[in-house]
Amino acid sequence: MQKSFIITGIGGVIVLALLFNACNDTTKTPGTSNGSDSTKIITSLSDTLPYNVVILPTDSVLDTQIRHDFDLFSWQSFIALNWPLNKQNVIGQQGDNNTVWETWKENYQVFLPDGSKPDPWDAAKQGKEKLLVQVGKTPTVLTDVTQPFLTGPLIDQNGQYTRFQIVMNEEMFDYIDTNTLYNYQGQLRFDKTIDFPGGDNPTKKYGAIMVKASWKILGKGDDTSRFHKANATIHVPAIPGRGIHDTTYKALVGLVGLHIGTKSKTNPQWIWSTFEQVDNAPTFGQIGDVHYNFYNKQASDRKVNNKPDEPWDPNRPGQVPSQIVRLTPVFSGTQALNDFFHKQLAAINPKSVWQYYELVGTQWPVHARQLPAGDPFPVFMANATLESYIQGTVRDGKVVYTQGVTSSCIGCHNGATTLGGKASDFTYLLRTAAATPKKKTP
Amino acid sequence: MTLKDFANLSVVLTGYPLSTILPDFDTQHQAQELLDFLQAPGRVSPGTLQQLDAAWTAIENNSDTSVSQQVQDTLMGNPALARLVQNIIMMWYLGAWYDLAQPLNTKSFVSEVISGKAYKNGLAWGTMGAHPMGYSEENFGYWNTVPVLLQPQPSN
Repeated sequence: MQKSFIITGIGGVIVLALLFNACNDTTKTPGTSNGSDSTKIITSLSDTLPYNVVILPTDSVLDTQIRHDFDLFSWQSFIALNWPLNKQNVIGQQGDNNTVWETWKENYQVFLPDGSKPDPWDAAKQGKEKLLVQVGKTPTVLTDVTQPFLTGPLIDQNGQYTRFQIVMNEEMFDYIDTNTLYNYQGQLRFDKTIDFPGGDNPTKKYGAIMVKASWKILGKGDDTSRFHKANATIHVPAIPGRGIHDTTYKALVGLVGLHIGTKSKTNPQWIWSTFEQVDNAPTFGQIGDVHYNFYNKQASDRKVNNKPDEPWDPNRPGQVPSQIVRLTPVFSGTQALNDFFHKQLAAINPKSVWQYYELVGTQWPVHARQLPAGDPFPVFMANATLESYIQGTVRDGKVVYTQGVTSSCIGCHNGATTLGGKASDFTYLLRTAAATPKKKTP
Repeated sequence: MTLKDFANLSVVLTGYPLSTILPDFDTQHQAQELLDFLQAPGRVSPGTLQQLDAAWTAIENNSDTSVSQQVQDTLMGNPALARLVQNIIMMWYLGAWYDLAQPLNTKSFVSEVISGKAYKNGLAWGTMGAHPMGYSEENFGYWNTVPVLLQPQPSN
């Protein structure tokens, strides 16, 4: 006990020192008029996306120190990705803002139904309305007969299905586009090892980045001032065999989960950062006095983290909400960093929606060059909205993890392949590609 | 026995370096799990554990003779400790514990898997370039290439 206290103490001092190194002090200074802005906000938060994690030479091998470096990388990524498109403003200055990552290419814009070449990157969709078509992190939650890893739809306290989206940055898109990996035939022809570019500090090059987001339809009981929001078109494609009708409607949605996967030179198994809206779910055994998005305090006798009974139909009213708890508490050092960034964000604007998002964790390969999967740490990591049902299991009041079953970003994505049966460099997206139709012979 | 002592002893017994037995950044805490298992009440008599601890301390303090030679002489050559030391080797390689009351060369020896994690992390898998049934951290398609073997390193 004493040993762990000492380590925590040293780690705490180091964490604070690094924070001041990384962020200096954050101040909000009313200043002179700046064009349309009446107030110039000065903050050390940055719109610059980090290329790769920085491990300081002074860092020892204490996991608390290195973990802090990766968590800091995650927060810097989160801040930069959610920076407003108008660079004159800073994140959360107006409370909420449009974001960088929401202008990136959606998976369905890259892997087209006919396998054809996607539009160029510059065919930007800025200003276009969000279209949400997925009810699972994997695009096939409703259509697959069996679900991988016990996944299923996530239903909020208002009985609404959570929606998901996947986007990629220009570097990842370019690699797919240049190598014709956007269709089946191209993947079959590709005879090299799939190797997306990795972010690199010395050359200041960005690596491939994937973002997976989960959204809830805002409704009864939701405090909309605590969510990053978007006006979205919700589309449920028809699945006649399952009695699901084609449905399209508009809704105000709030961001509840955000995965950021970043490939880097020194972390070829990618760095996996995961964030959540703070009201999503209580930590196991620590039910708070707040309204949760995915946990009903009045139904505390219900078994937690059970996927909904089938048949699943997003259009069916009166569905039983998911009862979700977080099985692994957020690490204390990560929580300290969350508190630090929340203060920075609130200093910009006390009504900033971004202060209601927390880093759940960062997984990275500890021994990246020694082992194929790189010895990921933490061994298990889950986002309550994206890996709701595979966080582990509760047995006799204790949380039990099972390697190969319990959620691990690297552990799972290490098995990703192309349609040609080759390792696909930690992304399952390539498997969603379609074949180009055969040309008809005259 | 402390974790450090157990790790240093395990380096000699397994042939694997300390960076494998007790990595600086330890994600699996395998040495701790095995030591806890070894020292659990009722598993090995306290007297035998104390004897092992004392013998290992003496080996570490004696720089006149090589460590491996001393282990051979004073641990493997000691009937009271030899079987326990063999069991420690098998804990590391197989993630299993063998009944100390039975000789190892019987066909019906009794063993138990220490834990799923200990079994998965058994050194035997990497040593022979394999993996436990149903679990692999290799990249997809690894079966189509020559396995990369973990290499034990001779100790002094």
